Amino acid sequence: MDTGAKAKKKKKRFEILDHTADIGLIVYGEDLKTLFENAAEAFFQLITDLKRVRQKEERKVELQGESLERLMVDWLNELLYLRDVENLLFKKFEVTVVGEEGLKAKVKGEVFKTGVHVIKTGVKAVTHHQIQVKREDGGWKAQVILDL
Amino acid sequence: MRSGLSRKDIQGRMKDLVDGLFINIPSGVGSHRKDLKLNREEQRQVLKKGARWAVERGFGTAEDIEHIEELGCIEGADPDSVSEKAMERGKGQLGTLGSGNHFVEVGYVAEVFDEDIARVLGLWKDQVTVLVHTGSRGFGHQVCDDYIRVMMNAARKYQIELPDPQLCCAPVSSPEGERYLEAMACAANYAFTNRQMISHWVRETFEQVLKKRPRDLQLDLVYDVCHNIAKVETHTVNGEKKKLCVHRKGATRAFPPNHRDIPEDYRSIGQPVLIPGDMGRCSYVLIGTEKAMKETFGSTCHGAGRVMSRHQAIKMAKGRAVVREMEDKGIIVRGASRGTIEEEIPEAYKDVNDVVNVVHHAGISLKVAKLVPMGVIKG
Repeated sequence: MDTGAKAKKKKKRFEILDHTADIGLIVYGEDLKTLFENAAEAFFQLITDLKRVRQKEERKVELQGESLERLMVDWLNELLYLRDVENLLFKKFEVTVVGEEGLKAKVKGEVFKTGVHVIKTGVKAVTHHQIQVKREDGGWKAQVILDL
Repeated sequence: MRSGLSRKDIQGRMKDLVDGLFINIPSGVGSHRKDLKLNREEQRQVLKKGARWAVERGFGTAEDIEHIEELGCIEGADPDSVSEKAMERGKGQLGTLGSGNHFVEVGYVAEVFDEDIARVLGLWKDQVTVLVHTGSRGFGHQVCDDYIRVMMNAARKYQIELPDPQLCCAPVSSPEGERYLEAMACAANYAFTNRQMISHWVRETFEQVLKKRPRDLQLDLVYDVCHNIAKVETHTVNGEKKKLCVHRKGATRAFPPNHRDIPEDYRSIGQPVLIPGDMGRCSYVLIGTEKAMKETFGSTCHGAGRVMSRHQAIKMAKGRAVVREMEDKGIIVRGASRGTIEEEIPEAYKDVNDVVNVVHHAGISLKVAKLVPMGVIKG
């Protein structure tokens, strides 16, 4: 691995934005696919301790084309929906298509088990409040506010 | 809920009560009662009938209904306006507490500010009380999520300029607005049903743990009121009676004496208002006033409000034994996870005493009784 690639790898992928009542995620990615993958990982890292989650179940996510901002909210809300309905915690995200044509992804994780997994933060919903998805410094940056 | 018990009657039993509540009331991710499975038609009935459905199924009594806002059922609820996704998400969550700031709290009346009103509400000093705080769970969030899409398109259609996409909206009388209100009513009815079921399990837990019969416990519902809902109501604006859609978010209804939407036995005193504080301080029972009707469309505050972000709270709680600290103060706490307890530490909230004094002195609701917690379960 050359040093350039190493430096790229070490680049911060996401950070948490502290709000009094809610919480925000700032996410980075060198391209759109990585941005959406990183957003999902940040989201689940906030919810649980990902070290304890294994990749036992796989789900496919397909979303219709929207603006990138709406697509970002829809993507995270779809994962939250799967967590609610199927009790799944996800840790691996592979976005194959993202853009005007919509989003396609494979996500892997495990069913929540008391005693094995922990819930760090109870997220109620992903909001459109102050949503941003934009190009920055040759890559992409997104901001999402979560309702807790 | 009020009870026929004095706090002396449950001395030394709080740990058993809290453990019992924690077993009987599903809290935290994925937990639900194994004895509760609803098919789609039953689920539709829940959305249409609200708390009445719960009572028909043996959760609570007909008297409870009298003490719920709108008799536990918002009119006009139409399950056809609810998406398949929302139905699916709501299916396993009915009769569950949920995470975040949702809780069941056993406390006692520590102070009575207005003896006459307290008497009408059946409240007296040292009486054991129970507060239940939960809502429409993932079902409500899915309804919201679905209609945000609708409203984003509607805002464009009706040329409403928005400072933020989350504020998307449509005229109340538009097809989009009407459909949303039908779906929102379903979510409200889901929430009434949810609380009704949990109240029933609170009663069962008290019966099991204290080995007492319902008529000895007298766990009666004082009142059940929403704090995030839009309602069509009549208000006086510039001397003229008008039909308005009042959205109370982070606020609760506080109707004055003699209002026709108040239960008959409370009509002379006004609508009871419940204001929960944090798990370490106290909560309040207040009463609605004419001034609220004039100044705030019959509304008042609904809680203390956070002063610290959840992350700040967790950081502050680091290395501390929060459950133990609470126990030292005489409050038994059980939660589904450590994180959800830590983010709810008392310091994370404004002092509810200050908040309640503000609304009391502003006259938009008046203090009746102060409740101090003894046992809490959290989602």
